[in-house]
Amino acid sequence: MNKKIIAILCVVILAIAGIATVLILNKGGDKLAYDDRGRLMIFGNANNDDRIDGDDVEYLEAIIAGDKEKTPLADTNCDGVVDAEDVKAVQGMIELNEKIASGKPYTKTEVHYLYPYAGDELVGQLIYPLEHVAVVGTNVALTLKLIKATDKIECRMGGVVDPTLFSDIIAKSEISDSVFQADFERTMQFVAKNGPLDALITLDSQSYVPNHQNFEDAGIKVVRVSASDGLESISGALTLGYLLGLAEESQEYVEFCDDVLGHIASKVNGIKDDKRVTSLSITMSNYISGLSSDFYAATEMAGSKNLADWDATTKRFNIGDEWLLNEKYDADFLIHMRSMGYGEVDPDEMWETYSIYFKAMGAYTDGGYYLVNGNMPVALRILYMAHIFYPDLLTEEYLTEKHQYCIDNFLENLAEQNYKVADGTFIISMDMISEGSI
Amino acid sequence: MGSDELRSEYRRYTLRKTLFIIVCIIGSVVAVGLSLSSGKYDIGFLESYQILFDHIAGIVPMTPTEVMEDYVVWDLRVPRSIAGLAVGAGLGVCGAAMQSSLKNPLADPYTTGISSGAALGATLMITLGISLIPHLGGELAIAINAFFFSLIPAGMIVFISVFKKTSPTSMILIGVAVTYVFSATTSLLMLYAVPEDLTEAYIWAVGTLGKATWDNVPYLCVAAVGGIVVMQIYAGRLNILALNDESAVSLGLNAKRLRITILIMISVVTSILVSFTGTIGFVGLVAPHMVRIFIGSDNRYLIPASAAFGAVLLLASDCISKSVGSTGLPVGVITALIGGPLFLLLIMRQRRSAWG
Repeated sequence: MNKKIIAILCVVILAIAGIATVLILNKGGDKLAYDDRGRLMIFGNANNDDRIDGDDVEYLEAIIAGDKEKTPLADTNCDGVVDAEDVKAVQGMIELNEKIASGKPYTKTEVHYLYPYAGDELVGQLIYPLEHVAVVGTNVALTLKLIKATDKIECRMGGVVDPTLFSDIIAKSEISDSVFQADFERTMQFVAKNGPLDALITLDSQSYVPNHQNFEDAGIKVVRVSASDGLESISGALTLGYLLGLAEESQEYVEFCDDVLGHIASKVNGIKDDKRVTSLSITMSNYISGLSSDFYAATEMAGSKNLADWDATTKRFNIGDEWLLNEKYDADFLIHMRSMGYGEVDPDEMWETYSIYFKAMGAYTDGGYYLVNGNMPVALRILYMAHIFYPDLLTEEYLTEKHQYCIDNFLENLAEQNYKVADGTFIISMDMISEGSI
Repeated sequence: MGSDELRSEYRRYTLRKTLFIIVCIIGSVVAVGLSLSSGKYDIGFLESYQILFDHIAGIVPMTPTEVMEDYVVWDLRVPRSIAGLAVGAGLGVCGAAMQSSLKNPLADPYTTGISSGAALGATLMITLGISLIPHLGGELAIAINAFFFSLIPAGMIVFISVFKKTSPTSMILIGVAVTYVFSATTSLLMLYAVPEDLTEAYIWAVGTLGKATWDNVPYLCVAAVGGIVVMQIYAGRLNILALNDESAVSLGLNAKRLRITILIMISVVTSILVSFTGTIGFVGLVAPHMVRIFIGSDNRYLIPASAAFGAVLLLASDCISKSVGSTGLPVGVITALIGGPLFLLLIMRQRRSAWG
């Protein structure tokens, strides 16, 4: 009898544990964890390339016929099966895109997309193309500029925004006092006065728009993208471009990124491990990037061996702390990402403010501490880092040429001002600093 | 009881107190020793002392590793340990003096609102960059802001006391009222601060010895030594003040003037200490109480014992704070986490009230 009770208890416990596991693994109900999905995170991108076109229709038909395996984004209408309905949906999307590109009248349609949020990947659904959007976050605002979506921005976050880089956005109505947030009531006031917003576009971190549910409830979709990581920012730009009906524009920008990152890879991938420089990356004033940080990935893409060995996104290094002084973190380079904008900056002042935490480190005394302008497009940030690490492989001429190309082709407001790379400050190194500030 | 017996009993009584003070002083020396050899940089216990003696002997480190080890011990740990000693002692003394002069066991060095004033001054600089000294930035600007703002609440108490009759309780209540106003203003600033500044302001408010450097340690030492010496000189008068104001008057003391004088001195000493370390809590409240449990309330013994015990408490907490987690914790968190339960334990085990 007792054995029976024990057996029943065991079964009950196992069943509860099993259900709990399933529930935990499916948190949110719509989380996906696929790999190898390409970069355009729009459902319908069946063949995992950067566009939705006839190839996707063919691929879907091959899946339905059993000739090809189902791909993560093949289920276009997200109903759980790949069938003729998905083919029809993709054909509709292709037709819509053609109308948008040729300027013909169109009817908006439903689209599903994958988006990152707080470490998870979720499925979003909205009616596209988005025509009137709000933006929160400088990195995502920059992405919108780069894919030529400035005209679609109706209002923006508050806080400190670089008046040179964002001269075409700065006059838009502010919906908050912080670069991280959108005030719900101010936004609704804006909507009441100026008409509806299709979406609020922001970054994939929980720090941005923590009150997102209020907007969703009010019918304003909150679209999140990654805009600071090297590869994910490309995916973010492509996906955002598609949702905004700017597929071609975003593909042009992505081709530029691919060109730059491909060139960097061709130069640094052949470097043997023992010849590779070591680095640590720093964000904000004194936060050192860990393994899961976008900045860690960026220094690695630039060809260095990042010495961070902790999982957390960042670890703070305060004045008086010792942990970073240990030999295992004695990097050749300390790359400190700071917003400098595209206007004038005082290198001495910036150096004095931010280098104060790192003056005891070997990299600082050896001239390996660099402040890098975090307002540049991600690919250029990586290029500037690669130039710092390997100046002979990635020359100043090359990075100036690419940066100027980016300004002339993707940053229209700067191009109109005839802005030259030499007009801004993008790296601050010790040799630029006056004696008294070192 | 005969006079010889009484004399012998008194001698034992004073010997016990003196012994307690000596034990606390030895404890603080040991705590300094431990503090010098603890931290997140991998240096052995004995090696730390070797590095220290090498530095004092003028032996120049040669390799990059030796240079870094010398920096960690001489430029980080030694000033930090001295700061722990000075701040712990200073807060302990100020706490004891404040409790005696205001006749209130809940009083501590921050009772007059010093912590809220200092926090507001520091937060103004951290979040808005507003410095009382134009064009001054960085840690020095924070310290100067904190110092002057921390004196405002005490100044208000003194101002009101001069024009209106105020009891010790009224003084505390004025401090509480001012604290609320200042804290609310600080909260307002923090609400609109960017996350990075918010963290900085919060860490400052909790308190840390990590900001101790050879540049600011002399100020801390002068403030702490000055505070101990002055309060020791006033110890006898504090004993009278702790009884009641009528007794003080009958003994020829102007209780109100004396209380205000002590309050001003405590405020200045505490303001200097918190300017460089942030508002490290709990030490000033708990150290005098713990000491009272062992040696009673005679300020002639309570003052030096609170100084030594405060130093031990803060240094021991700092040793733990340097070792916890992957980057360490602000010491203010540890003083409360360790000191609180210890204090509760002592209160539950004591046989009689030590207060009064």
